[in-house]
Amino acid sequence: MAREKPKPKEPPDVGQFLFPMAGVMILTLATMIMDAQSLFSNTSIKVDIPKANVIEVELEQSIPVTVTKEGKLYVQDYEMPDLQAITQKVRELQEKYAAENNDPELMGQQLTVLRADKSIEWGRVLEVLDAVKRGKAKRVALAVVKRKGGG
Amino acid sequence: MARRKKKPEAKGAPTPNLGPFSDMTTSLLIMFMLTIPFIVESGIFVSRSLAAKRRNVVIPKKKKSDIKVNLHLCADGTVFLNEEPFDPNRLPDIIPKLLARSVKKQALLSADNDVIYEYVIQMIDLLKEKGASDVLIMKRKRSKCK
Repeated sequence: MAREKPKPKEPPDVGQFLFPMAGVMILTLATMIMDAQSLFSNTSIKVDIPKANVIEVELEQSIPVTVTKEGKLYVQDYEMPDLQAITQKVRELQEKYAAENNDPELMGQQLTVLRADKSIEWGRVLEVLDAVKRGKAKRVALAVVKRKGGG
Repeated sequence: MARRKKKPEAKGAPTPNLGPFSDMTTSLLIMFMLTIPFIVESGIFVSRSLAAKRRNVVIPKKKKSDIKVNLHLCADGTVFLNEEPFDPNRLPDIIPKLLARSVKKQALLSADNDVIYEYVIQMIDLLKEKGASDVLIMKRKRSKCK
């Protein structure tokens, strides 16, 4: 007696599995777009950064020092009461960086980025810059955002 | 008249159309990739001049110093180039010529304390754009500004 041929199985419906995946992808992407600035600047403090055509600093792990429009001072996400606190904190972080890399010559070599609101006075920026320099930071950059249409 | 027979429904759940989803995800991704250079913060390196620690600013003598661009910004918008008042609109033309005479291509920049930070950044940007290798930030105790 001839054997009955088995019925070919229907291919699984991939669509119903891809549906939640696509949703999650869109959500992830939307979250990334919204948080891109804080993801790349190592701080969640938002300030209005001035724009510039010339960009010199590539993305790297840096110590962000922020001066807000209201004059509040932050190192990373920690609010600093005064300039001395900034000096101390920057020095601590630079020492930590050198210790982590087991190279005392790297003391002061971690990039420190001064993120100041574009509407504040230059005198205030200079004070903070001096405080950062007193914290043994040797590589200091002023944060800027690339101007659209700039070279 | 005889009623038409309903067509038998297809078995199983309907397959969702993923076309629009993938379109939207792709366009979001492309938008994100295109705008990221304008969102992400970058930086401009600056050097803090040692002259800042001195009580009175010592302007480098022209014969000895390699610095050919010495800019000072006043709060009222006046710009001093090498100690002389200068039209800010002519700076983009003159700076490359002055820097061409310098070996290290360094520029000195100072500003009154009450100058808006954005304006100073614009000037640093201009100096760098026109070929300055390093911008030395200086603080003046005595300003020529009115």
